[in-house]
Amino acid sequence: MPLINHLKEQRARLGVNQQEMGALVGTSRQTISQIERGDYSPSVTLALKIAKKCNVRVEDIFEYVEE
Amino acid sequence: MESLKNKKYNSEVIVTFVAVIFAIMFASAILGVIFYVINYYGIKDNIATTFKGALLTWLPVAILTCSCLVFLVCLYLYAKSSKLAKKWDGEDEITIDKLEHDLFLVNAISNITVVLILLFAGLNSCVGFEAASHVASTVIGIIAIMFTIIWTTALQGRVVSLEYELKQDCYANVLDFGFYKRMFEGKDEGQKMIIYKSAYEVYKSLVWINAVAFLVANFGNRFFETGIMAVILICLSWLAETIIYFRATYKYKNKGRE
Repeated sequence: MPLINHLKEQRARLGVNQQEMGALVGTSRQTISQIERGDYSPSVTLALKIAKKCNVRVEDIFEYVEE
Repeated sequence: MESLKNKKYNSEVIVTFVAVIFAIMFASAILGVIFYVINYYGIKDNIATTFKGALLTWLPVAILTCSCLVFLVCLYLYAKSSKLAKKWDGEDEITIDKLEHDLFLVNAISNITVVLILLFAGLNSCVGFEAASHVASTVIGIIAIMFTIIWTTALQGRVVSLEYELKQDCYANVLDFGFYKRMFEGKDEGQKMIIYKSAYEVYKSLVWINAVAFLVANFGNRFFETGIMAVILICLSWLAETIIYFRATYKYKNKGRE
C-alpha cells in the first residue's frame, strides 16, 4: 500500500473517537475506520477536510511512499 | 517487447477460447444423449410426476420449517445487537464493529430469504393450485410465504432503525419503493465505494450467470418442453443489463463536457 496515513495518531491528539471524528468532517464512522485501516484512500476533498479539522497539512496525515 | 507480450497473451487467449468452446460442445453432446435417453424411455414423465408430487406435498412444510429456523437465527442476532447497542458507550470500536457485523448478517440473511421465498411462491403458483388433493400443503405454502414476507420486512425495518439510532446517517422505510435509492444516496464516499465495488462484482458475475442460465433454459426447452419464455426473459434481462451498463459508462465519460 503506497499511501500510509497517520489519522489514528491525529485523532488521538484531538482526543476524539471515530464517531466524533466522522461527525467533525461530515462522514461516517465506518469511513474513518476504513481510512485508518488503510482499506480506503479518501477523496482530495475529504483529505483536505480532515487536515483542516486537525489543524495540520494533508501531507502530515497522508504520506505517499514510493514502492 | 510490448508487442511480443501481447502476441503471447493473444495466443494464450485463443487456445483457452477454443478449448472452452470444445468443452462446451462436448458437454452439450453428452447432455443431449442423456436427455434423448430420458425422453425415449419415458423417464421424463416419471421424473416430472415425482418432482411435482414432492413439490406439492413436502416442499411447503420444508419451507415453513426453514423459514422458522432462519427467523430464530436472525431474531437472536438482532436481539444480541440490540443489547450491545444499549451498552455501547460511543467509544469502544470493537463492540460497534461486532454490532455492525451482526446487523449486516441479519440484513443479508433476510434479503436472501426474500428472494428464495419469491422463487418458492412462483413454484407454488405454477403447480400448487392444480391439485385439489393437496389443499393442506397449499395452505401451508401460503402461510410460509406470508410469514416469511412479514418477518423479513419487520426485522429489516428494525435493523434500519437501529442502524440509524447508532450512526444518524441515513434512514429509509423498508416499505418505500425507492428504499435502495434513498439508502445509497444517503451514504458517504467511503460507504459508496463499498457499494461500487460490490456492484462491479455483481456485474462481472452476471455475464457468466446469464450465459449459463441461457444454456440451461435452451436445454430445458429442447428436452423438457419448458417453453421459450425463460430463454426470452434471460436474453431481455441480459440486454437490459448491457444497455444500462453502456448508458451509464457513456454518461459518466461525458459528464461535464456539455
